[in-house]
Amino acid sequence: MSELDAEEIRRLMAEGLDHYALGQADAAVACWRRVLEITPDHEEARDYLRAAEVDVEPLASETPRADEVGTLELTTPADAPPPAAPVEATRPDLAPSEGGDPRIDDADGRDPILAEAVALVRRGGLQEAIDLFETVGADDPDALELHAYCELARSRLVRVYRDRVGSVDRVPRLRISHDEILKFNLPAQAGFLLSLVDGATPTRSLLDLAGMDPFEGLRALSSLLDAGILEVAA
Amino acid sequence: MSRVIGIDLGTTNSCVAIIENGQPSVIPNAGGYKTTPSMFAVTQDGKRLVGHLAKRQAITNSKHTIYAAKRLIGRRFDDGEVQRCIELSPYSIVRGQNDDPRIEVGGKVFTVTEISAVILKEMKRVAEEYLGEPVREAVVTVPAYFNDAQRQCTKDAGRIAGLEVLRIVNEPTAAAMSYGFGKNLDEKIAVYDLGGGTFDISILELGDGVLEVLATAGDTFLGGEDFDRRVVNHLIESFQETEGIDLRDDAMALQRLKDAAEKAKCDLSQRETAEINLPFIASDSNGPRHLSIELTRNSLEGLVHDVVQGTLKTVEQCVKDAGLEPSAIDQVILVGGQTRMPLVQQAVADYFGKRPHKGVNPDEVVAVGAAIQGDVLVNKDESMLLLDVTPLSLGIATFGGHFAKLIERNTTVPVRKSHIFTTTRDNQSAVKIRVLQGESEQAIENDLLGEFVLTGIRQAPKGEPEVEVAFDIDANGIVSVAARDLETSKEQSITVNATGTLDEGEIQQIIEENELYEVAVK
Repeated sequence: MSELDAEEIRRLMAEGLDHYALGQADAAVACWRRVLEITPDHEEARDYLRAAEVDVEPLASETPRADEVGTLELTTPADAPPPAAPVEATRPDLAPSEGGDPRIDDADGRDPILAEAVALVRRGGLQEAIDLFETVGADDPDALELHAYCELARSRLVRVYRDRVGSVDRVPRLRISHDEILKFNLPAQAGFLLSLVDGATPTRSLLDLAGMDPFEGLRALSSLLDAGILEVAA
Repeated sequence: MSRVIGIDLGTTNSCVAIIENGQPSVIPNAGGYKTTPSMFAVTQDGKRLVGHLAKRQAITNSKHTIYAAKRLIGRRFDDGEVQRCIELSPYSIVRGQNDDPRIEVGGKVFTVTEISAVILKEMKRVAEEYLGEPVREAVVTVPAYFNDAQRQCTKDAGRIAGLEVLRIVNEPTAAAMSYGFGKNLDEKIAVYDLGGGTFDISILELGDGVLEVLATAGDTFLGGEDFDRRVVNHLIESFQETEGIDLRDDAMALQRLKDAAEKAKCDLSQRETAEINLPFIASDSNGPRHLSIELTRNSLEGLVHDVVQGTLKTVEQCVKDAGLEPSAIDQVILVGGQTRMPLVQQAVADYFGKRPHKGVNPDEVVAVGAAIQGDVLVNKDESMLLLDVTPLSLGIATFGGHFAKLIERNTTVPVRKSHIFTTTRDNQSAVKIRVLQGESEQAIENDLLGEFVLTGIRQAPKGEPEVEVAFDIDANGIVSVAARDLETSKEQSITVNATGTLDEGEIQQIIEENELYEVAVK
């Protein structure tokens, strides 16, 4: 790749994020598609397009991603999964990312927090990336690129959660007894969502009733399904 | 033949019934419930929820969930009742262009009539789903003390909902009808109505097929919700004592507490104890917290005893206003779901010295009576109708700020009465007629229904011109007024629009807006 192309790609990627942060999704997608015209295997552009809910042709070399779903902190007596290592808010001494993408390692071209978040996303840690943004980026409303990437990761995660939950017209119901539920370690939000499940109300209405951010509602519901507390009737 | 439904449009819950094969039948909604909360909400993403769904998020989305619109219908913004609602309601009540209260939720301002129409439309839909055919006509009930404006607005709400309201019936009258009190009885009836949000006591006299309201009293801010609130406070205090966490500011926890409190209260009408279990109601650094409390019937009665006793004070005053003693009451009817509570039933029985009628479910009895009225109207068997009366006197303001009654309260409707008026100044060519409803001798203390100016009167010394003003109350209790100059025989056509009601243009606009919305949703 020529120096000019590399520079053009950097510009297009950043411009796309700026557009996305301002709600100009079409313009953002156009920038990233342009990147793929220059370099069809550009991982980050492909990530951004998927997150923006745009279909991208799979590469022959693409490997399945690791589990991207952040889970609730669940502990059961038998098989508590080890909690994921928490992501530190600041990591100035970044290790090279997988794949050796020169843009991540370029200290001049990328904010280190954004670089770390991008790396997390590419490793499958969507929720960790979002947590990082919200911890570090929440206080900096001018960090447009950071916020835009956070929104992209959320969009992507919402899609994952939607796929997990299935059709919103289906009806979730309790799968285990009240005493068994008490063995879990659920946050109050999940408890509230559980209280709305009555075996007759479809997912669509549950999310309306919960009054939560759709991302939070779907995340909580997805986690309850993963934990086996709920099941969804056909 | 078209089917006529009877709708109890309640402050907190509504109910719809119909006569099938000569028997009244309460129509359940899709969830199997025979009553539907009178609630309307707009969610964060603009979805509209009605009934049970609206109720289930009423606390977490309190600013955009409308309840108890009935307290506002047909009133003026500056009414004391409206001002009290403004203080107590989490949703925004604003002044409308007709000086009426309007409600702002979800970025839109709704008239109160429109909100009532949403509820009526839902009851219409429930009936149509059950019957499998369109429903176009209804009898709708209102409190006995509702004035002309409130009745007119209720009719308008029916129209917006796509219903022709054949008759507006007083709630205690409907309740009496559902117990089969008909033409051949001569009795005094007490109707004790403790619903979700309001308490009404009516003393009625039935004789010669006329049901006369002797006295009514009540509290429009007292009902089953107050009982629930007492239980919720008890749960919050117990939880704070054991867990050290105050749930008062947690909307999600409050929603769960409210739902659980109401359920426990209802269960305790059938059982002596109720378990309240709310897992993961809160969490702190030590992990999740669960609420698990057993409530007994005794405890519940201890929490609400003063509320029940308070209603009896109001009953006592009402019986006195009717000029009677409790022992003179022949029949006692219970209306409203809260009267299922054993403490309430016992208190009422002790006061009147007789057991209240319990044959019809108290939260369905008004709708059943309305359905009976509707069936009678459709079959045109007017001889079976119990005649209603106008609950308030009707008249005009006269010189010096006095109130001249033309139609006394408790006059059987429909009725038409006229009176001759004249001028108060020499060469007066126009008169302003202010139509009032109420019992005070001072005009300013009564409700203004409307006013109009009659012009073209011959210039003459005061006291000479003669203007006949005729007052007309139809079977729904709705008033219209006409005036005629007797000398010239010129008739002046005037329409009295009760202050705060919608005009035809506004009604049409609301109907069209709602139709558009329905299409969009599909």
